[in-house]
Amino acid sequence: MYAHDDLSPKPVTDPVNDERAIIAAALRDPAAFAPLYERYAPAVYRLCYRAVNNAATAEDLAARVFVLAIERLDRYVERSGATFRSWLFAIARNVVVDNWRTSHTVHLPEGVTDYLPSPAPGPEELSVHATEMEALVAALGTLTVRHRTIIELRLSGLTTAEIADVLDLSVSAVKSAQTRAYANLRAELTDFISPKGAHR
Amino acid sequence: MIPFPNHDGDALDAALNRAASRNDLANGAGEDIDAARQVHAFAHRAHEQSGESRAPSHDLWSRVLNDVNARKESAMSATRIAPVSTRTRRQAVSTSTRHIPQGQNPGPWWTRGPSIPMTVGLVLFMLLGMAFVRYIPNGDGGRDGPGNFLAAVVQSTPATVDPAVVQGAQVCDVDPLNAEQVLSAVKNPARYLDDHVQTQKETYFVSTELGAFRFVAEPKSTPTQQQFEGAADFVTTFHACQRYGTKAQFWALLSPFTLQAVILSNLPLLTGEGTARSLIQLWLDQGATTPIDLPSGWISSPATPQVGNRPISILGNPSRPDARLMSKPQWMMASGLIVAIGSSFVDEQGNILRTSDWRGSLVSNAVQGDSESVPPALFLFHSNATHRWYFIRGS
Repeated sequence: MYAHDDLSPKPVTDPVNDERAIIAAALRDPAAFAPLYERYAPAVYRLCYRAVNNAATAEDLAARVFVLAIERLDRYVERSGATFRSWLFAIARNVVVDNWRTSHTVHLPEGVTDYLPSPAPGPEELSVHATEMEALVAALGTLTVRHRTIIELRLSGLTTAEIADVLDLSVSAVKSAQTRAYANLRAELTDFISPKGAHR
Repeated sequence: MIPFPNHDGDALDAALNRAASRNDLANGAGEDIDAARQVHAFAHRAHEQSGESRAPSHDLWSRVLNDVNARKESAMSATRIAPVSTRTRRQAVSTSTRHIPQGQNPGPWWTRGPSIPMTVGLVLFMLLGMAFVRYIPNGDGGRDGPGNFLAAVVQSTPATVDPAVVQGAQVCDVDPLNAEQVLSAVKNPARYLDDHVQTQKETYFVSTELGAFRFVAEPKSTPTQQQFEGAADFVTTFHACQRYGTKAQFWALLSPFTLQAVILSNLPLLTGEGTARSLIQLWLDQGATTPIDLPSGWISSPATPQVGNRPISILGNPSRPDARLMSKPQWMMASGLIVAIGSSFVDEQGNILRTSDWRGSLVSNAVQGDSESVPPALFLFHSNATHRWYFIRGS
């Protein structure tokens, strides 16, 4: 059963062999997937939460991620540069994107020529958010898709190589993009993060 | 003011970065690390402060397991015909064995001549076996009917293709779209596709939800030879243009609905028509297909242009039984047909290295031990109005 109070990844002596054994067992019995669920559920849930800012929806999405992961476990193959974690978070990312598409219906009226700047919240608006979580979600919403995805995967604990695998980018491209992504996000959160990192 | 999704794209990103590089991104490595640390610390604090965002509830794992078991149960009930037929066959064998009179055992079966029932049974068994292998894993429960089953028996995936076809798969010769055509598709994809379609409203609502499409489009039958050849040629062109064409050429292959989704998902949150036109022109001027070709999840292109260290081209899967005609004759108010079809990785000599079927499942693999990507499957729409094929989405 998932341990609610311990959010740090479980220490393992040999993560690759450990996960390999769990996956082999889970292919026969889905219940055997539990250790991997325990290991990754908090990070997957948090990623989903930041995407929707709602606990019930985040749980729905997280559940879907793990259901798909267990169902598709036979398709998981070990590759150089890739890990089970990057495979799992690739599924998580797709689930979040699918959810985004489901919840957004769009239309473009004809004949409109005016242009208004993006309503993405600036520092002043961010500063009135009731909680830091709301500010974080709002600030993430100002980033480009690629930047946001990289930050989300970073916050989920993935390495540069793993992110490169998930996004099908080169490691150098990820490094370059994440530098800008962090700078942009920090700029959006200036009211919350002082130059020296102190909390407002 | 127009409500667009807050889903900025990389082309726009590039423009922003160019602007940003003139101002505030001259940070050194130390500043980069500082920014990362501060953002991570802030995110951690935010999650800790907000109890509900910290971790999922205790019962989520039970829910996951229940869902997995329920879906497995549902899938098993859909293919229940398989174990029933197996039991029947076993019962038939045991019944005939009991009918052999005691003391008259004629010896082992290989010492006897072939009997008519045995021959008929053997042929039936082989046919049933082939039917099982061919259709049960596809999960569409024999919807194809006996005609298509025989077609499947006769046709098998060829091992090679004409090298001239491979050469052709390295050139994109599609007429490009201009910015006005793209904008027209964005504003009203149905009218763009089919001038005969009359919409009641000037504005046209469209759902780009992937799940909805999976729901409405069910596999129906194997496409006709003509349908299949058109779809397979289109797949080859699609891959060629994705790899070697310009953005304007590649977008010309997308269904207007897909193109609309691509554009909308890359525009800033609020954008007027003039700005949208300018941005579309900017993207078209960039030429290369990457990086805003298709939203994530719409198609999985191979990570590398090589399989087993051999350069490849990507063609439509040349095996007709591996394709499916889908059940939705009308899609998004545009009449036509939908075909799902896989792809093949082919080397320069025309040897087929790896092939996927209409669902994107691997059906042949001549490069064992290579765990690179599976050739993608594509959902295509053929318009009755324009008599052209369009890409809807990938596997």
